[in-house]
Amino acid sequence: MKTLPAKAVGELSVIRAVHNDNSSQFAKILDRQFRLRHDIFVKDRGWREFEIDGIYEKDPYDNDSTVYIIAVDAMDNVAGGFRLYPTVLPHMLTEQFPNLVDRTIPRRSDLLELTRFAMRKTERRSSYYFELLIAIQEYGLDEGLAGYTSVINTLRIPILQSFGFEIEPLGLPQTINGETVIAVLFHVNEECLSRVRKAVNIHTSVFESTIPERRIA
Amino acid sequence: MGSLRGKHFRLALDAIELIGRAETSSSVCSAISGLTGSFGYNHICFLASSGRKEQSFDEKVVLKLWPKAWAEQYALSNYYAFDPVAPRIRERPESFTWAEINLSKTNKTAISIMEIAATDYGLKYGLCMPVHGMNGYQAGVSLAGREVENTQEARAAIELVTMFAFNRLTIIKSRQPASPAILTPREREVMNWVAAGKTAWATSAILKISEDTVNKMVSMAMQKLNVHTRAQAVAECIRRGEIVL
Repeated sequence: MKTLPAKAVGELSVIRAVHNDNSSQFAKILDRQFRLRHDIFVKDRGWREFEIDGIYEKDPYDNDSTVYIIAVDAMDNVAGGFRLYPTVLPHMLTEQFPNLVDRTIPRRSDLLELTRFAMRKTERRSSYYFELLIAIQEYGLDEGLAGYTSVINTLRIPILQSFGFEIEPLGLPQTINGETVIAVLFHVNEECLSRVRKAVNIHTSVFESTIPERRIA
Repeated sequence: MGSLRGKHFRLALDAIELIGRAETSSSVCSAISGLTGSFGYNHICFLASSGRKEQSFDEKVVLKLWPKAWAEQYALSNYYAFDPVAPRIRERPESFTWAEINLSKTNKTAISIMEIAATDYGLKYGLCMPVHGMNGYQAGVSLAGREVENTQEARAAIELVTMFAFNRLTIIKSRQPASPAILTPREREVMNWVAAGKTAWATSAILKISEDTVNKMVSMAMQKLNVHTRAQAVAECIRRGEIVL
């Protein structure tokens, strides 16, 4: 795989992959990320059932096996991020949304479930958003992933396709709590990455120069 | 997954697979009209925004399997200005059936357009699928039929396939070498009706301009396209993407 110039710390923004092995090193941004999730999901979207302590939004899929992809600035302020979880473990698609999948729910060591994609309101169309889109592909390729499964709002499909994503539907859209949602598989490959790079005009690596090794679940 | 849902999902996947292999916009349109036809929606109008603000209805149409007489009446009576369907497709990304459009009782023109469509042309039940992308409204599919399958599953299948069809059309369009548009919007409109087999007189009635103006526009188009006959002009327009049949 071609290596691209990585960002140096101190440049305006960077994407970090945070997980069990480096979580103490990145405790501050992890804390800020849980607070952002509370702002977005509990406060803005009204997911009352996820209110625990009024500070963090967390659910059973926040544990030692979780990887957090977080967009931060030079001051470690969190602009947005998403969460990745092994599909070989019980995850959202198997536990909460099995009805969204037509055949067998994909469970493979090279597939992760992507959830809790959130952006700070002020950063919705910012370069952080574009970098997170690139991070989906870049992280996947670096880790040897085939793709990600995810439950998304159906209406996001044309938007993500216009950014270059290759989306495979796993079932028909359904309305849940007044919102149309669908289970999909985002493919990870070099062609996708180059389409996304072209769409957002970012041709450097969005991660820091070293990506921590992912632990096998 | 319930059996109807599973069955319709597989129909959708088959259509998506066809669409993924399509190399021309007409193959994409066959794939989507094949799927919608199996649910009873045998009339389909696929509209795509080119981004230009003041577009006449015909310019936006990518595919039209509408009853011919309805298309003529629609143009002659300028229904586009009063059709309640068109603005709603542009405004919101959610799909809707014609029954879900809440028409104010005072909007008599809109009500009568819907009634005429149903009683005179068999366009009784309608379903509209907007496609909103990065920058808002991009395209929409308007479907109609006399007897349709009105299940959630059919609607979901059509919704899904519409998105993939639009994506593929965008990719196909981006791969075509861009011939610069050389006809004016009005000339393109006139050539559309010539391509549909209309005489100059009929075209003048539809567009509410003089027959002389129509003939002048056709001559101008022929000159710009560097051809000698109307038939050649039509062929060249299609080849260059100035009009779509």
